[in-house]
Amino acid sequence: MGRKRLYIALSLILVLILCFSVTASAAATATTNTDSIKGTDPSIPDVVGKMSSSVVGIIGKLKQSSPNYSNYGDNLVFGSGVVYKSNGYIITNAHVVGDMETIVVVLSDGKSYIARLKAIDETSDLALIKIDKGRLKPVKFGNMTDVAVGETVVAIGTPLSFSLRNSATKGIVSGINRSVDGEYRFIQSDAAINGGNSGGPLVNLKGEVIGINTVKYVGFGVEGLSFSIPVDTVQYVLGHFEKFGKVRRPYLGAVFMEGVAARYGLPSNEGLTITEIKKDSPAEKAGLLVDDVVLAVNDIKVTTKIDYNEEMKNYLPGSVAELTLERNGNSLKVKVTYEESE
Amino acid sequence: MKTVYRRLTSYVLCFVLLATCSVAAFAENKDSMLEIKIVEGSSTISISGEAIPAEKSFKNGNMLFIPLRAVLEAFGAEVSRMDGNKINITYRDVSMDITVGEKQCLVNQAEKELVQAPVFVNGTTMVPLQLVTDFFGARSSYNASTKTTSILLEDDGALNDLSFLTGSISKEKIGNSYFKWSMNVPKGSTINQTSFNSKYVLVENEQRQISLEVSIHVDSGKKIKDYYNELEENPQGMLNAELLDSSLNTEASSSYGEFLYANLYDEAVFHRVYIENGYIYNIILTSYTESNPQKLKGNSYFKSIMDSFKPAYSYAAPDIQDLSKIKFGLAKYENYINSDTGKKYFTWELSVLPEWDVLYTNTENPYYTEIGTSKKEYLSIEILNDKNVQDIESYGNKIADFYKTNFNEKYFEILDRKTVQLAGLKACEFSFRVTVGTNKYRYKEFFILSDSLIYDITLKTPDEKYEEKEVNFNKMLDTFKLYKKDVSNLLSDMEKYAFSLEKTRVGKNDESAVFENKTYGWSLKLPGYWNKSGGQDDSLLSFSNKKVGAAILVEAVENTPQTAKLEDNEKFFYLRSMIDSGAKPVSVETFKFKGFNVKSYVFRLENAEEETFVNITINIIQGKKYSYSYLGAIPDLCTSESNLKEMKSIWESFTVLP
Repeated sequence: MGRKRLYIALSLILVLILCFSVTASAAATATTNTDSIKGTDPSIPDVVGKMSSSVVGIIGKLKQSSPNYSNYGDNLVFGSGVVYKSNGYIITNAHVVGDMETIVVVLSDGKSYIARLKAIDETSDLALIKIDKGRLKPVKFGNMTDVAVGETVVAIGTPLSFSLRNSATKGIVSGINRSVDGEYRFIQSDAAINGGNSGGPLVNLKGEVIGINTVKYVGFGVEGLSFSIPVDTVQYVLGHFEKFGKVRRPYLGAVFMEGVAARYGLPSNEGLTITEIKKDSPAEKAGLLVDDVVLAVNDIKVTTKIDYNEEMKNYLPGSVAELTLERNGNSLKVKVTYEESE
Repeated sequence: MKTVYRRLTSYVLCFVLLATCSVAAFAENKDSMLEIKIVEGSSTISISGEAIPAEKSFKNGNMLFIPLRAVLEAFGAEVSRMDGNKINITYRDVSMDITVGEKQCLVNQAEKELVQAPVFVNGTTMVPLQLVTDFFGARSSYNASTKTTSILLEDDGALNDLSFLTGSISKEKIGNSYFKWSMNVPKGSTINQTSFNSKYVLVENEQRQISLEVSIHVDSGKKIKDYYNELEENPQGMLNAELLDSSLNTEASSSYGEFLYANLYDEAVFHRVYIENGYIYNIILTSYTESNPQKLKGNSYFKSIMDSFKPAYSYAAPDIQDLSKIKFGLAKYENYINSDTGKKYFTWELSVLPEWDVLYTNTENPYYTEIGTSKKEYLSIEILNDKNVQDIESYGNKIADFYKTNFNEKYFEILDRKTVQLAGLKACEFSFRVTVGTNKYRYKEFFILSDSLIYDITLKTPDEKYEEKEVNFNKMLDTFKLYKKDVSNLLSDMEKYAFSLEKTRVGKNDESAVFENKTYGWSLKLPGYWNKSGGQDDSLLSFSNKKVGAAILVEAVENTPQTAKLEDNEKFFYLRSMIDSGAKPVSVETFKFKGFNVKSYVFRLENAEEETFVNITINIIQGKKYSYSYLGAIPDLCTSESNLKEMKSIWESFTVLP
C-alpha cells in the first residue's frame, strides 16, 4: 500500500517536473520580458508578445526614379509591416514600398526574405507585399464599432533605425473619424509613432489590429498626435486587392469644393459644391452642373470630401447612386452611374 | 526495499534529465527547417509538429497524392486557381502551371510532365508528391514502421548576404569584365556610385575614411609617356590640385604614371594612370583624414591596394565582384527629368555602346539629352510639346517644310524619308547629309508621337563611318523605350518652361513687330518669333532666332569728343572681340545707308573642332548722337534663300530714330 502511494507520488512529481521544464524552455524562447514592467497593465506585455511575430521590418533600396534618390547617399529606406496571411502576405503603407527597387522583409526572428509587391494603392496609402515563406502568424483584425475613444492601444514597429525593430509604444485612442491630410478618415492616438513605424499595426488589448500606422500625417513639432489607417479602410482596400488586384474607385468626374465651415473643421450642413465637370464624365452625362451643391448620396449626408470618399467605399464602377443636389435654391435628385477611374 | 527505492529515484532522475534535454532540444529545432509529416489516409497532416486538418492523402500505384494547397502554402507559395482547371503555383523563382486531369504542366514556361495527373477530391486539388520534391526544392523520406512520409524543406530562401542592399562588397576584389580591370578592395567598403555604363566607379570605406575611384576613358591613341608629360606640365587638369610628386613606372608589368597631390579639400590623393586595351584607366585613392600624399603612399596597406590594380579581368579568378553594367554589348541609360516641383519623371530608356557617355543633360534644356562620344557622333533625344500635332505624318511634313525653307542645299542634302517603327510606335524617319566645312555628317532623325508629346531622336555620325556602324546604331535604336506615367504633370511643367521662353519673344504672334530702343535711338523690325535678350542696359541688345542659329547684336556708343578719336575696333565690343581673337576681315566696304555713313566688315569664321562655319557681318553706322555696331550672323547650314532674305530685310529695317 505504501509502495503504491509512493509510486503515485513519484509519478506526480515527475509530471510536475516535466511540465516545469517545458514551460521553462518555452519562456526562454519568448521575446517579452515581463519582469521589468512594473505597475502597468499586465496584459500589454502579453499583447506585444503575441503580436511580435506578426510584425515585420521592411527595408529596401530606393528606385532611381524616386524623387528622394540621391547620388550621394545609401538610398536605404525602411518601415514596418503586418502579416496578413500565413503563406507570406504582408500589409504595409504604400509610401514605404512604393519607391523600393528591392524589398526585403525581416521577420521578428531575424531572418530576412526578398518580397514582391503584389498590389498598391496610394490614395489609401496601403500596399500588399509577399514573401515566399509559410507558417507565418497572421494578425486578427478588430471591429471599428468596438473601438472606443480612451481605450489603450499599442503601436508596434521599427522607429527611426532598423536596429530598433519591433519596438512597442503605448497610448490611448484619442479620437476616431479624424480628417487630416488624406482621402479617408484616421484613428488618432498618442502612441508615439516615428519615421519607420509606418506600416506597422495599432493594436488593442485583445491583440486585434484596429489600424495601420502611417507616419505621413504626423506634424513636426507636434506632440502626441499619431494617425493610423482604421481597420475598415484596410479591409476595404484588401478586399479590392484580392478581387481586382487594385482598388476600383467609382469615378464621377466632378471636382468638389468644401464649404468654408467644413474647411475649418466646424460642424456644418453645407454640402459639396461642384467647381468643375470633366468632359465625357458620368457627372456630365447625368446633367450635373458647375455650382450644384451635393448634399447627400443615396440620402447619406456629405459635408466634406472625406465624407464623400468614405461613402464611396460602398460603391463600385458601374453602380448607380442618387445624389441630392441644391441648384439655384431648389432641391433636386439626380441619378448618376459611376464609371471606372483611370 | 531501500535499494528498490533508490533505484526508482535514480530512474526518475535520469528520466527527468533526459526529458528536460529533449524538451530543450525540441525548442531549438522548431524553426530551422520545415517538416511536413503525412500519413496515408489520415485527416490531418503535421506541419512542424502542429496537426492541421487536410484532405486525406492516398496512394495511386506507387505515388502518394498529397493536398496541394495545405502543403505548398506551408512552404510560403502562392496557389491561385485560374480559369478552367488550371492552377498556378508561385514559390520563389519557380512559377508552375498545372491542369487538374493532365500530366503536362509548365514550369517557368518550359513544358514538363508529372508522373501522374493531379485530381480533385472533395473540391481539394491533390497532386503527386513528386511535384513538391522535383520542382520546389523539398526532399522526402518514408518511414515504413510509422507509415509516415516526411517532406523536408531545408532552405526556405532566407537571405544570407544583404550586401546587395547596403552596397557593401562581400568579395576580396572588384573588377569590370567589359572594361577589363580588377583590383583588391579594402574590407568594409561599399560601392557608392557607378555610372550607367560602369565607366566610373566610386568605392568608399567609411571606417577607414578613404575613397577609391576607377574612371575609364576611351584611349585617343596616346602613349602613357605622352599622357604623363601632359599631366605633369598641367596638373591643373586634376581638380586644381597641387602636384607634389610624379613618376613614370615602365618596369611594372603594365606601365603607369603616378601622381601624388593634395586636392582642393586638402585631402591626400594617390593617383595612377594606365593606358591599355584601348582605354585610359585612372585609379584615384583619396584619404579624408590625411593631407600628405607621401604618407598615403607610404602606408603599405594602401600601396598594396594600388599595386593590386591590373588592366585585365580574369573570369577564372575567384572572388571578384564584377561591376560591369554592359549587357549584350550595350549599356542601359534611363532618362529622367527633375522638375521644379521636386518630382522626377522617367521619360525614356535607351541602351548605347559602352564607350558612349552622356554629353548633355538637364542643364539648360531639361527635355534634351545627348549621349555619344563627341559632338561628331551622338544620339540625341528631345521631348517636344506641339499642341497642333494631329498625327506623326503631318508633323513629318511640317519638319520637311522647315528643312526645305531653312537649310541651304549646298550644305544639306535629304537622302530619304520613310515611315518606320520605333519604340513600338509609328515613326517618321529622315536621312540626311550635312556638310560642315570639309567634313560630312550623316544624320538619321526620327519623330514619334506618344501621349501628346513628340520625341525627336537624332543620330549623328561622320558620313564615311556610317556604313560600318549602321548595325550598331540599329541595335541601339531597337532598345529605345518610352515610359508612360504621369504625363499630365510633365506636360504642365513643359508648358511652364515654354512660357519662360515665350516671355522674350519680340512679338506675340509670328508677324513682323517693330522694336524701338528709345534710350539709344534706334529701331528694328523683326518677325515675332525672334527672341530678345539684353545685358545690364540697353546699350547692348541681342536678338536670336534659335531655330536656325541666327543672331543680331546691336551696340550703341555715345558720340563724344573722346569716342570720336577712337578706331572702330576700339569703340565697339564685338568688333574688338573678333579682331582680338585673330580673325581678319574678308572684306571692308563703305557705303551710305538711309543718309548715314556705314563701314561694313565681313568676317569668315571657320572652326572645325567647334563645327562653326559662319559669315559674320558687322556694320558700323555713324549716327548723330550715337554710333552703332550692327552684327548679323547665320551659320552656313541655315543660309537658305528665305533666311538670307529675312536677315537682309531686318538689316534694311534698322532705323536711327530722330
